[in-house]
Amino acid sequence: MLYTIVPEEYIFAVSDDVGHFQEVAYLGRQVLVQPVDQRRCQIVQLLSNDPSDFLVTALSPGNIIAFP
Amino acid sequence: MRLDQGAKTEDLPSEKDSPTSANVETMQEFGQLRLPSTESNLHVMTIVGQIEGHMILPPQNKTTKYEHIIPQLVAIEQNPKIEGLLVVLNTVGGDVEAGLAIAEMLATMSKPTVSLVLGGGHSIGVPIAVGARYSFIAETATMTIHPIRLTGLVIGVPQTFEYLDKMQERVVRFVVNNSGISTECFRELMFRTGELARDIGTVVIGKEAVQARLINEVGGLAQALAKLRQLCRGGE
Repeated sequence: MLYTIVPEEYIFAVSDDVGHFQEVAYLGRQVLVQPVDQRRCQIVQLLSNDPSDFLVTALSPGNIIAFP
Repeated sequence: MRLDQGAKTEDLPSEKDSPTSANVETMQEFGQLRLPSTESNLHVMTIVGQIEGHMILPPQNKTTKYEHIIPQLVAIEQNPKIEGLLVVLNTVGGDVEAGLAIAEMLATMSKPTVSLVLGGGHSIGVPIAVGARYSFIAETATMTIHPIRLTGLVIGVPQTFEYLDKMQERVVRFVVNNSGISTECFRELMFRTGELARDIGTVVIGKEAVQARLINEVGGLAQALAKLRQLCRGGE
């Protein structure tokens, strides 16, 4: 049961042009990545609750990394 | 990790796909493998977009996943190096069960927790905001308080209403028990007409949430962190 201000038709709208993300471990942290090609992917989001992790440039969103 | 392997990877295509060579490549490209060891004693949890529970939402939704948040809360509660938790909310609501689960976990943590509503803390974001020991709302942040809706196949029997009312009651009871707001006041905000364009309910902005005693204080990052540090030192 959803309790949200977003109308159901927006939540379940069908759209093709959105990226599919994958969760991988990188440098010991969980990151959400979007595949760029077979071997590389781009960091979309860092999934951590330690604020100091967000100061690590290697983990910044936008970084292209080899698929860990 | 051995540095000297880096130069060899080109000559050895068979090794290219091994996990070791992938790490070496990463190191060559970005020059970093070790994380700095500075660890913060205050952790931060951001709850953004839709709160995702039983159902995986379509990919155009930005979501905060139950299965990410719950283990993190357990880890924070257990890790002796972590003293407190700041919960930053900018959510449009989401799954009732997942939202209430996160709120209950926050409310029952022994470590100090402070929530900060930035942007919006709507619908099921309200129990999460009040679940923390002390709550802040930014001056411009909003919270929408409205009734739960039933969508999809609805059987037109009185039991449907009773079921809906029960679900509603879970949210109302949690919010009333964990904040200063009274049941009457919260229900009045929830069922008010004429304020929302597509729904009944209310939008409270910044200090209105404090006046309704839903949120403890209007403030931003500095106030929230100062309060968290104070709670960590044993203050109230």
